[in-house]
Amino acid sequence: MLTIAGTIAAACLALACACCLWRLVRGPTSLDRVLALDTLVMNSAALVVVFTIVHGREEMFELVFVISLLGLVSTLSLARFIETGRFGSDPFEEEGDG
Amino acid sequence: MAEVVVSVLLVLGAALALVGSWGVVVLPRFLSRIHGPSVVTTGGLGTLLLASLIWFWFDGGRLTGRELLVSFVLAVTAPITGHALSRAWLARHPKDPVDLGPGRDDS
Repeated sequence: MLTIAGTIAAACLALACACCLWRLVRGPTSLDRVLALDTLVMNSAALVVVFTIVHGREEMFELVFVISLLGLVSTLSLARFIETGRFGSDPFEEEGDG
Repeated sequence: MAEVVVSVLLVLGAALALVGSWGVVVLPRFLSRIHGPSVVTTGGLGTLLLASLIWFWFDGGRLTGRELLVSFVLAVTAPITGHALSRAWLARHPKDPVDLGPGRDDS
């Protein structure tokens, strides 16, 4: 029963990844592509969780940590880059509020 | 018994993730599309992590805090990414009309 449920869940997550890929290819702006990439990363973390449960590979769970934190950092840095046009702060510019 | 509960939670979480990703595809504007990943993160991944917690508790006999830690991190960071993306959108498209609801007309 757990195998059948895991198969259905993996199929649903594959469809979800396909939706994200469609938005990633089609997205009219670059922020749409960042949004699709964020959703894709979260779907892949969910796929790793399903794999962990179905196959009983408990040590694979560390991947979920890594994937979710990488998704957070990449989404935040890409959104900041699109917002300001640069990474971080300009070292040669005097800024009052950082 | 635990297998039935875990199976139901697996299918439910994957369906919630599918709903969120489908929202990313079909919603018309960016500021409404931004609500899709929240459903995927908190609803779908949270339900799957709950299934993992129950499964490794009742099947393996080990109750660890990893799932709770990941759920906490995801629940804290999902609004942060949404906020950063919407702020970037409003910085790049200042003319995009935002519906602020009744009584507010300063867009």
